Amino acid sequence: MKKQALIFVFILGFALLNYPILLLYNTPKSIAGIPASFLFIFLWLLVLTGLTFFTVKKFNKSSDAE
Amino acid sequence: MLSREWIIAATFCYLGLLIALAWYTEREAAKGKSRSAHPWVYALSLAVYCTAWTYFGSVGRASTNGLEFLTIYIGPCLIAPLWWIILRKTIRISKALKITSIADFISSRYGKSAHLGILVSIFCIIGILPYISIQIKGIENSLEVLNLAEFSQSDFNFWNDTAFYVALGLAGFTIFFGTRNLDATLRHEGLVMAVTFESVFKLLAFLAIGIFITFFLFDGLGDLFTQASAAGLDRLFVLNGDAVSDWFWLGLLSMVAVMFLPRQFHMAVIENTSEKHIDTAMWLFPLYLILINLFVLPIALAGLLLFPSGTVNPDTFLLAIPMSKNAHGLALLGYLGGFAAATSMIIVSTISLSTMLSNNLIMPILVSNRRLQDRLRTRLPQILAWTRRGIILSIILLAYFYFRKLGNNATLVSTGLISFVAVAQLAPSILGGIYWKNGSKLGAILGLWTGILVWFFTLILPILIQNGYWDPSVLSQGLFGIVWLKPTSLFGMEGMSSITHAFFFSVFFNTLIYAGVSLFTHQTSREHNQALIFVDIFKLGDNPDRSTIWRGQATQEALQNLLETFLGKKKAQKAMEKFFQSKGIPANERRWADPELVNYCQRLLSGHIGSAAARIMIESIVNEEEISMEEVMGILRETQELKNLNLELKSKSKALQKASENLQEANEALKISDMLKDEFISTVTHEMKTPITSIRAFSEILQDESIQEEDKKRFLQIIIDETDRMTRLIDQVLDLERFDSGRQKLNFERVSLSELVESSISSMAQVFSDKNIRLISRISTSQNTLFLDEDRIKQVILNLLSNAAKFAKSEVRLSVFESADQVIVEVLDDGLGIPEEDQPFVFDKFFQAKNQTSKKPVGSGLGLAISKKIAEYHGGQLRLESKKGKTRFWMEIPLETSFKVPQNQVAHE
Repeated sequence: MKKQALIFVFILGFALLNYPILLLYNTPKSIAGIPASFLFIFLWLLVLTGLTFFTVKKFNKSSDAE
Repeated sequence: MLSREWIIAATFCYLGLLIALAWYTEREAAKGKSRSAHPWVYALSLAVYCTAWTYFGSVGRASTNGLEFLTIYIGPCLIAPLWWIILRKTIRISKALKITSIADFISSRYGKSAHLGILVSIFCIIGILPYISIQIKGIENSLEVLNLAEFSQSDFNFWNDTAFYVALGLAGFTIFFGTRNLDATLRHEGLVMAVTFESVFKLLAFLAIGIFITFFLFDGLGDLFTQASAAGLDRLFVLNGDAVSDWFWLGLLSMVAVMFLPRQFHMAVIENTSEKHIDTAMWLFPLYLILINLFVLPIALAGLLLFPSGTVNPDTFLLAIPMSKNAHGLALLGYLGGFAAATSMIIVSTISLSTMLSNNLIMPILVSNRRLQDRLRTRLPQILAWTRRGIILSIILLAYFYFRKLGNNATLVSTGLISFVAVAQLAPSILGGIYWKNGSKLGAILGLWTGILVWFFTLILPILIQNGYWDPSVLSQGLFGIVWLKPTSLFGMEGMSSITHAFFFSVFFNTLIYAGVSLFTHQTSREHNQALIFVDIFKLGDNPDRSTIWRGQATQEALQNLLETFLGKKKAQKAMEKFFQSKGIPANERRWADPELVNYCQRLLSGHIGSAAARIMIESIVNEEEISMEEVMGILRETQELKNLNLELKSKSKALQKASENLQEANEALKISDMLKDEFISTVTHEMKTPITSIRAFSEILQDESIQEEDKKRFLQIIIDETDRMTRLIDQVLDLERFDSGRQKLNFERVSLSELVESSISSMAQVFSDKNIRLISRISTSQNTLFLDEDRIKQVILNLLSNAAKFAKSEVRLSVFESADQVIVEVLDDGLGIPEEDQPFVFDKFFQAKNQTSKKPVGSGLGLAISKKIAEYHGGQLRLESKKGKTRFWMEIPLETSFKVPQNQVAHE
């Protein structure tokens, strides 16, 4: 299960940070003065890292309990 | 102004700190306290990925290409979750086989091929040179910004070149650091701790400058971006056109690089102490990358805003901005951070490359020559250590010359990417090697060669041309004038950046040839063996030695001698003891070593001199017989067939056992029934004999004519009675036989039970009154009629009554009543009762009560047996109870007779 969850995170990240989803936020628009692309790229990276973190914590805890 | 002395002092202080930290860590490790075996240390040591490229180059790249610089870090962030799958397997394999470097890994996978080991080692060194050169360049650049170094192209002489001395200093430091331990699989605890410290230091320094620029020179990110936008720099905020395709390919490239760069492989695999540390690295390393990249674009924008275009090299913005604002302390911090980034990369890279080269090139050459081997054998360890030192020095000097001769005009990132593409050539044979058993040596070699040639042609050749070392017509007209062989647009492919173009074509052809050749070539047994270990490492458990098929002989003594040469006497002895201890056999009893011991020794040696050299060393003392693939397959097939046969045999013998059990049971049953039959026949004949004897006796008397008429009549009556008795007996025997075999047919019809009982009583009344026994009957049933065989039920009742009449003293009670869903016909007498031990046999055939009143047994002993059968045929039961001289027989008949013949009868049909 841990393997599958991590593969899921990988695929999610690959989709979020690549063409064509990339085009959605690769625009000249700014949010509070910060360019959308800059904001979203770092946001996605943080989200993915957080997901990995929680996946690892969750499955390690459950494997300890076993 | 920062003085020269300050900068030099700070640099030496920093290096001193590193050495002290490493020394302390190693001293603690020697005491058994491993400070560096911590998941955070492991994760942060991986940040050796961030070099001067990240530190200075990313800012430079961002100032021209905007966010594109991020691809190099997004790739690793994306692939990080998969480390649990790919990296863990690589680590498991490397630990099991004592792999010392990435070249060793590939060489080991493809049959411990010395050829592949050499190819990968040399290619790695050439491929990484540009990368190392940018570290030297980064330091040199930063010294220039700090006004310490001045570089003029005109009167260049490397004796006056600061960068040259920087390179020499780095080489000295690395040699001091990395080559004290001979066993390359031994962890360099001090090195790991130092690299971790450098990682933390460079991150903090970078963040400090980033925060200073963003929040002190500008009013936060919003302000900085707004000003940049106003200055027309907003083109850097979006990726346009080619950048989108580059984005994908560079992301892919960096995913490969972060795992297969020799220094990353060294840190992530060789220096790993526990697979569990991957868990932490999977999120901490990406987090580190996010943090260190956060201020790259802001710094680049600030530099572009602050300096008129072209006056300052964007690769040095990080230092130039604090310098221009007179924040000298920060500038010094930034310089040291960059220095940390560069040194960590150089140290780890050169250590891994030197191990690679000495184990895969120098050692196999030294040990494959018999004469050289004999002469050098005792001094090999020293030679090994000095070779490594020499290699480190050469690599750094080569990198320095690359920087001065070829890399002077290029940006840091474009130079570094050349190395990335080089390293990507290893990906097909590594990934194929750990997931695809059929990947063959020839495929790997040819694939690699193809990748290397395409890499050289598409990336190195244009640089050589730019620097005037090659005929420039190739660039415009293609190789040999063939248009589709232009280095920058193979097959006329336009519209890709040179890196993407080179990456795509080199890896594409590399993979194609690797897979294609592998599919059409046969592996040797050794290759196949290694392939199995690599691909199925998780199935093998802890002992890869046992899985190998090996034929050959070596003396234990020779093996021990060999180990002593490289490990030293003490260590060799210990290793041998450990082996025998784990096997649980005494060490000094056998002369010939078994294959497991040979493999064990080879693995130990691999840790020191690489797998190819270890193989050659072992081969020199072992008379190994090469096993052909056919033989291996033969052995495997035989084993498989044997296994199948064994299984079949097992199941057959089980079936046989069962059959014999069944037979035995049947035999027992037959024996019993045979015995019963014998008994039955003897009883029947005995029963027949009695009347026949009396018939015969009376008939003889009748022959005598002197008998009176009266007597004659009496005798004749006896004869008739006896004949009747015989007829009855025969009838009963036949009845019983029919019931037993299930052939008896009952004649079911609606009968009034009470009438039936009344008529039975009246037919027995005479018998009772003759014997002076009272017969009391009580019939209470609501059922008018039941579905019965009238004659048979009557037979049962008569049988019960006549039995009761036989034994009763004074009274017999007959009652009919209903209970639950059945009717019960009960006969109770006050006779002698039936002894407890006899009760179970009362319903058996020919059971005769021992204590009957008359001398001659009355009845055949079949009555009750037949009665019981009749009750069963009606779906009911005949039971008895006897206590203190009172005997009670009762028949249960279900109200709804199912008319079915009882199960045990059916079986006989």
